[in-house]
Amino acid sequence: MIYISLLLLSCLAAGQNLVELESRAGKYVAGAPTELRYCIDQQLVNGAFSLMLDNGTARIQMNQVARGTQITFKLPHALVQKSGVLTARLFYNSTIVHQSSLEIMPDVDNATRVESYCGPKHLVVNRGDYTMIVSTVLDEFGNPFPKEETVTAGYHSMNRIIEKPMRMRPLFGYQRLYAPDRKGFGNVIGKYGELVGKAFRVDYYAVDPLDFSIAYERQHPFADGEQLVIFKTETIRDASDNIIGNGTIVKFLINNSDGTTAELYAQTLDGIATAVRYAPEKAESWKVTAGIANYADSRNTLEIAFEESVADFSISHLTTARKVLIGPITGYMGQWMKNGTVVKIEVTGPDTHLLFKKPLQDGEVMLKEQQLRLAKGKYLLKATVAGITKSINITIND
Amino acid sequence: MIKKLAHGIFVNFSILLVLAVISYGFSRVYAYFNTGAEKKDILLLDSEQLGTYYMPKISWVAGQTTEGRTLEEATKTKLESDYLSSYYYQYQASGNGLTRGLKDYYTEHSREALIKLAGYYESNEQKVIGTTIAHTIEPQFYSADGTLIVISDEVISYNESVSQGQRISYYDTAAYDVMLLLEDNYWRIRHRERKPPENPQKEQSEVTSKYYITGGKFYEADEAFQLKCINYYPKKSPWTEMWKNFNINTIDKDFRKLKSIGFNAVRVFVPFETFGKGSVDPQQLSNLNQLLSVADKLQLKVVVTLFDFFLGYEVTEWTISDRHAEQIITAVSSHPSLFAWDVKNEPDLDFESFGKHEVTSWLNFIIRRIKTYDPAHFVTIGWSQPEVSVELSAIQDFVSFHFYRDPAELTEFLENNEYTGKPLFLGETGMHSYSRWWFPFSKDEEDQAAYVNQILSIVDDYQLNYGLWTLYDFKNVPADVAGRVPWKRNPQKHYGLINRKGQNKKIYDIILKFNCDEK
Repeated sequence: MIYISLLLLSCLAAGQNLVELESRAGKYVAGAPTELRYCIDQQLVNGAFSLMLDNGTARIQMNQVARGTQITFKLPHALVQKSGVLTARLFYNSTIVHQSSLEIMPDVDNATRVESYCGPKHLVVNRGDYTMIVSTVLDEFGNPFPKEETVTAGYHSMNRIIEKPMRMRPLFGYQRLYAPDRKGFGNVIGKYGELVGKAFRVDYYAVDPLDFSIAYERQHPFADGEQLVIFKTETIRDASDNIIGNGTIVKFLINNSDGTTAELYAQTLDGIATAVRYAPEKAESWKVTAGIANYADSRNTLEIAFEESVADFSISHLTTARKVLIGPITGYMGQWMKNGTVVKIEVTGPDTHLLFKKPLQDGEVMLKEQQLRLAKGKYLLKATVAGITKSINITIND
Repeated sequence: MIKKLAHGIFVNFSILLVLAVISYGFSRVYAYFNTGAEKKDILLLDSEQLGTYYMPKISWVAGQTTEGRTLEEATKTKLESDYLSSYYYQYQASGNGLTRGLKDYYTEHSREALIKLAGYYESNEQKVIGTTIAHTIEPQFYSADGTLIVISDEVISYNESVSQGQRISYYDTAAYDVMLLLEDNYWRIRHRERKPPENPQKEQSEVTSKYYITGGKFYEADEAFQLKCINYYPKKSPWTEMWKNFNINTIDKDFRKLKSIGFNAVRVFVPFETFGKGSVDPQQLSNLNQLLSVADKLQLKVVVTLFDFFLGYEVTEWTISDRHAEQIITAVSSHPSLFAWDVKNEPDLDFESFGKHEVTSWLNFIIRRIKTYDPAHFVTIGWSQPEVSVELSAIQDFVSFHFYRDPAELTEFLENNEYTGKPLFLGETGMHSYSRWWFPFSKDEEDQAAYVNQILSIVDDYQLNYGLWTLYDFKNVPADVAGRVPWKRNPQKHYGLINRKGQNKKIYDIILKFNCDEK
């Protein structure tokens, strides 16, 4: 054995080949039964050989003792069905004595599937946006076809069907498909002959919105704190008259006459964004603008004034009953203000400052002296409802 | 009185014994919970964590103009780690039959083939272990929606297959076209096809060395020289402590001293873990550079032992050692004082624990990689015994071995060795001067001097290059160097030319005379 090893090494060093590949190297179609047949020198007969086959995915070792001057290895399916280069290294005593490569080609006569990927699937019109379809044609073993086999991209958009050959690369082909100038949707496919892959829907959205006008709706001008004021945009569109996509956020900015600001956010539906806000509880005025951040603003500003909703009211001290009566408090039509309307009450006097709230009940608030727990003396009592303040001096006698 | 004393001694001894038993028990429990399988062997690590265990060299080359989108840095990072993990888990499947890792890095269609293959391996009793060593990745196509990438990759891999008792191994360089899809935030391989080789242009290294070998001798500027080397550690911080408590002033002082003793070379050791394994600490690289600069200033040649205290012989961990070598070599290979890379100190001592095949396969691998990063400088292996030094001698520039045995055996070896054209480097030799009444192998300074004298005589006769162990006697020697038992550890502290008090030992003058004697 040692003698043969030394002989082998010396022959290899001298460039002599003790092993030759007898079968054909070169190209094979995937799945075709293949064998590798080596012709070995007489000196190596009865020697143990190992054939290592490597295609990067599978590395398969086959051992065989040479019974004559020929050894044949039948290649396993896992190897002959996978396209790509298959390297065969023949080992004798852990030394590589022969190395060759086979090129396994995809079976292009048996295309079984077109595998496609497409994206992005949401495009904006009139901005040069494109989707990209990538397709691979596979043979029955799942091998991708070579770049010489052209795949076609099919594009159904705006009642037109376009077919374009894909740009072919190793493993795949691809094509850019541009958005039209109108919103809507299209379908994209990859096809190879009669074989068609999965279809993809591509949606086209309007491009940047243009400036828009806003309006408001309310039932009356009184600051009753109850009615809903509705703000609305007109139908917002892009330069090509496409309605902007649903869900676009519109911000309404409300500047109050008391210097405070409020923001309302609304999403568009069919191009219109609608926001609502309660009317204030006291007389004030609002200036309202709207915008879509970084894209568009409202062309107009709404100016909305609210009048006082509470008529004048009185406060009386019922000394006999030892009660203070606030009200009746009536609204802009003479109606009692609704139950629960908050009355802010402030009582000031010697060493006393009380501040509390009471809800209206049947248009009035009744305060018992006992409840106020005031010491003997004179006090000023103020009541404020919906921005209107009235006051009364009261005297507590015991 | 005596009875009381005896009782006291008995009680104390009993307490000590109980404490010893308890501490031994605790140490066994601690050892039980701290040994066993590696985390990577138990858990399915994701691609980011896997980077600690598997670090092949990655080179990205500028791709063709992509028709889709530009490859973002974050995508590139994620793609790289996921793509590499696919190879790691492919080898896990072919080596250990563990296919669970394939799910994250191969699409359903492509992993089907690998799972079938794992079944084939099992039924045919074949195992393929291996690792990829280097990848040269070129992006070819990145789809507009960022979910599909096609790359080409030139892969260098090492594969070892065992089937029916027949073991074969080989290096493979192959180019692939690879399509990956982004699914569930993983880049998964959909197609990978091996393509015909393109005969890539290899980059020429710009590193050059002023040293060369002719007729078994070292030359510098057409003048042959003999390597008179010393294995160096500072007196107060030997072994890994040298780098943990790095002090360039101490090294400068010590190098001046050894230069004055006539040494023309110094051998230093790079501890694998202390330097940071696969992610080398830049501070340690700076320390090594400073050391080389001091050596250069004194015209000392430096032999750097790259993998001290290294045990990562498993094929799956080779890439960690490759990154270690790459980072150190590229950082210092252009330094003028660098003389040679000594791959590893006494790797033959690991034959028994790790297997001769595993150790020599790793050495073969790492020498190939060292030569890739630095083809100019010499490479050797510091074998512990001269008889082993025949291993891998063909791929070393000079042959190195250590010798602490009977000088007659060295002569016998030198008479019978068949090395031709390669210098021999007796990289370590010496004798301790540790003497105690209870120590049967006590030696004194006279013995030490006599032994070294004999060795030097052989060195002279055979014109060997030599390296003495070592400059100083040490106060402390780490347990992982010579074990914990005093009869092994203490002699290791007394191999120096200079004792712990700073006095020259008898050997000093012998070395001085030998080194400075002009023949």
